[in-house]
Parts: sequence; structure tokens; C-alpha cells
Amino acid sequence: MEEYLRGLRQDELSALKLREMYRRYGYIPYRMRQFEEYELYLQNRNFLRSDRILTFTDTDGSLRAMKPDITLSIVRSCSGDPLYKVSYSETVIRPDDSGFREIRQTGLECIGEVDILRQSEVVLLAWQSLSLSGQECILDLSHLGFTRELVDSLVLEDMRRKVMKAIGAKNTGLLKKYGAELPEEDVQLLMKATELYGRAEDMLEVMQGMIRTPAAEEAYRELADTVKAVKSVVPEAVLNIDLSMIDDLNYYNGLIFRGMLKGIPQVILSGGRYDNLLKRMNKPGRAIGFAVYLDLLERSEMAENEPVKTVSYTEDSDPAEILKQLKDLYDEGFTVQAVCDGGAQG
Amino acid sequence: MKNWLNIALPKGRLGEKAYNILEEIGYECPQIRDDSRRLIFENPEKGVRYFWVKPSDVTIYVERGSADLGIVGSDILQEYRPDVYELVDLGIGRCRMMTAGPQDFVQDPAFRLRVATKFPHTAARYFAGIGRDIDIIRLNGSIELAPLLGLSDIIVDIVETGRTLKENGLITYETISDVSARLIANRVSYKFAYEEVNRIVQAAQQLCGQKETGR
Repeated sequence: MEEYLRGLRQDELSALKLREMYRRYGYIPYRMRQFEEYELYLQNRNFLRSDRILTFTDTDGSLRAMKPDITLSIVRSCSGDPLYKVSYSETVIRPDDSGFREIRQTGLECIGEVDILRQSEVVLLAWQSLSLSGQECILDLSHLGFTRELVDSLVLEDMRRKVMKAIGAKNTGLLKKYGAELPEEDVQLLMKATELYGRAEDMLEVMQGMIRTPAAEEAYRELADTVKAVKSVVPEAVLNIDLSMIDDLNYYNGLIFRGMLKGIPQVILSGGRYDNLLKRMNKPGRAIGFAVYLDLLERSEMAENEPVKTVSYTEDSDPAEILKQLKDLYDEGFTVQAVCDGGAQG
Repeated sequence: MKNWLNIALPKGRLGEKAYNILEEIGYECPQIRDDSRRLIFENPEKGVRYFWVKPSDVTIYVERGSADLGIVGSDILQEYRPDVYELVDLGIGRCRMMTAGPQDFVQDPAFRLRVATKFPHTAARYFAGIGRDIDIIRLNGSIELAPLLGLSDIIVDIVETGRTLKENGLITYETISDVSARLIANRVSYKFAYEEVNRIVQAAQQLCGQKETGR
């Protein structure tokens, strides 16, 4: 079986491995429709990473969209099961500088009675998805509730958006400017949320000194319990905390996380709790999930170099004989290549 | 094995000043001072690699991870809004993003204001913020020429001393933002090289803070 997988690109191979891992943790593969009603995305525009959507008029005259997102479709498809666990491996259509393009995503969603156990399971799977690569990797965690409580308790309402943005860019200079009217102690707390980064265990200790409200205490507890559960299973996991990670609070709440592989300059895995999206779509319960952006693996140098055996031939060679040599070498497990002296390879 | 720290510097005076700061905090690369046409300079001992790029391209190199760190004017950040960390205001290359135009120019609200600029997004956001409908004329240089030849009514540009404007009979109107050089980082490189980047950030903040108070 392994032999047949060697021809796959790294991203294709990863998609297969991830799907199998999610299936064995009870995530049912979800098959998506190719198109969705444009209305679905129009109502949840801010949930999407870009508000540019590729649309067309269907044969019945309705306006459809080439799917720019998967989570919205999955949330819409869940019909009140106590726990709806699905995985997917799909293509979404999103714009970049060169126009619309297909982006492959594999991921999972856990919707319904999401408790600390389910949440920890999702974080564990996020870590395992990263570590499958065999490369150095980091999973950054944060809790939107914690950062929001901190900002809400220290900053006046009209400044909160700006302050959150400065925290998200780790722009301490701007933060100091915004905090010019605040007590020094409060500014220092905001600076800590912006600047501090490190191992989850160390950061949790620092965060204890930053708790100002019962809601922050609750957020802290949830994050600490999740880290504890995951680390007890995979002590080697590099789980870091970065409180400057911010996401749209209209959709996301609670735990959020981002995964990175060394050598790939963009975030390769992104996920978190999105109970607020469920509420917006009138669905009961809580939800958490993540997506792995497999396209980014395309250029990673993880594929092993395999031995190539070359067979030389000339115009005078017997094609049947050369073909046999190639077949014999192939049967022995080699990758084969015929080279014509002074001619083409292949 | 020590990993290289790749730093993109903007070609020109600002890049040289920025390098001086990095050299002062211990990331020297003496060969960079040689008068040569090379674009990449390395100091294996310090594990640092510098390269010169066009100022407006610094954000691209950093955002896409070819550079871990970069030095760029906040005018460029404001214009392109790249997805990077903006870590330190280095306090160098100070100037202002301003509106400017002829001394005798009187705005007529009946017409769309024609604005020539190298910074179309910045200009569009500024005028949208004050509810003014504008026609943006994107130019790549010699912006001051546009109102003189009637191509635009006013301009949006960076102003350092205002001498060029004055010599061409133009005056400044409003300040859109203060501009200075910033140390930026790729969001993923920052995480993998956190300790080293943080050391640079702390040292740069301290040095630039000292220079600020010593002025």
C-alpha cells in the first residue's frame, strides 16, 4: 500500500493521513455541495476571510456562490444532534492578488455539547495534525474571552477596537499612545497581553496576575484545563500562549489557536471556538473546529528523495529489451528513467 | 545548527540609518559598508543576513517570510496594511503624510476633488473619513508637478522639510499621519525565533528610547 502513496504530493498525502486520523477519533467525513446559496455568505460576510465571493446565476435563476468557506455549510447542516462531529477535505474558492483560486482545506468541526473534554480533544488533534509532518511545529493558543475582559475592564468603549487592533499587531508604541490617559499599571497589563509569548505553562502563571474579573477567571480556568489535559497526553507538544491573537468577536469566542510549521512562513492551521456563529445562525449549543491549509505544504521539503535507476539506450537498442530492463527495475522497487544518448529522457 | 536571521533593509538613507541601529545593538555585518553592488550580506558568526530591497517591497519580503524582520516606513504600512507584527518605532526617518497644494487653491464642493498621490489607499481612507468625494490620480513620482500642470487640485504625499513644496509654490494643508521607520516581523518567524527577536526588540526600544530622551 505504502508504495502507491509515494507518488503523491506532500499535501495530498497529508490530506489522506489527516482524514484517517479524524475518522478514528469519531469525526464522520462530511461531503459538501459544490455550490451554496449566495444568501448564506451574504448574511455572514464578516465571518469570511474575504468579502469577495465568486457568484453565478443557476439555471433556476437563483444566485449561487462557489463556496468560499466550509464551516458555514457544516453549521447549517447540523440539525440538533447532541454532538455533531464531522471532518472534511474540500476545496474553497477565495481571492488573492492573482484573482480567485482554489484552496484545499482539511479540517474538522465539533458542534453541540462541547465541554472541556471535547475541546481538549480538538486541540490534541490540531497538535497531532501539525506533528504528522515530522517537522518542528508550534501550536499557539489564546482565549478571546480573557483578552477581551482585560481590554473591556481597562479601556473605555470607544477605544476598545483600536486597542484590540494594536494588541493584534504587537504594536506597543501605538498601545502606549492609546493608553496615555490610563494609569501606568493598566498600560503595563495591556503591554503584557501584547508582548508576552512563551510556553503555555509559563504564560498561565503570568496570566494569573492579570485576572481582574470573574469572567477573566473563568476564561483562564478553561484555558488552563485544556492545556493540562492535552499536555498530559502529549507532554512533548509545543503549546504556547499568545494573548495578542485576536479574531472577530462577532463569531469567535473562547479558545482560539493557530498552528505553524518551521520553514512555512504562514499559519498552516487555524481554529477556535465559534459559539457566537451558532447563535447568529439560530443553532443551539457550542462549537469548535479547525482547518489545515494544505496548499502551504506543497513547497515544503518533506518528501524523501527516492533512488532513481537510469537505463541508457541508443537508436540501435531493442525497445523491447529496454522496456524489460525498466520493468524489472520497477518491480524491484526503483523509480525508473530511460535516457537516450543524445536524446530525451523519460 | 544556528538559524539565519534574515533582515530586509530599505535601499537608501533610511536603510543605512536602520542598519546603524542594528549594528549598535550587536548585529553587525561589516561588509555591508563596502561600496559594492551586492544585494545580500552575511555575518555567519552572528547568524544574520541583510539584504537591500526597494522600500515599498520590504513588507512583501517580510509578509511572505523571505525576511524574518524588516525596516519600513509607517507610510508603507499604512498604505499596504500587510499582515505583519509592527514591533518597534525606531524614531528615524521622521516625516508627515500630508495634503498639500497651491497657495491660492479654494475647494469647490460642487466638484470632485482631484488628488494626485503615490499612496492611493491612504488618500482614499483619509478623504472617506472626512466624507469628501475624490478622484484619485495615482502617480509614481514627482507628485508636486501634478497641481502645477493642472493634473490634480491637490496632492497627498510625505513631507519632510517642505522645501520641495515651497520651491514649487505649494503649501501644506492638513497632516494625515506622522511617519517614522518601524521594525516589522513575519508572524511565523517571530514565533520560531522569539527569543532572538525579542532581544532585538528590547535592545532597539532601549536604544531608540535613549536617543529620543537625549534629543
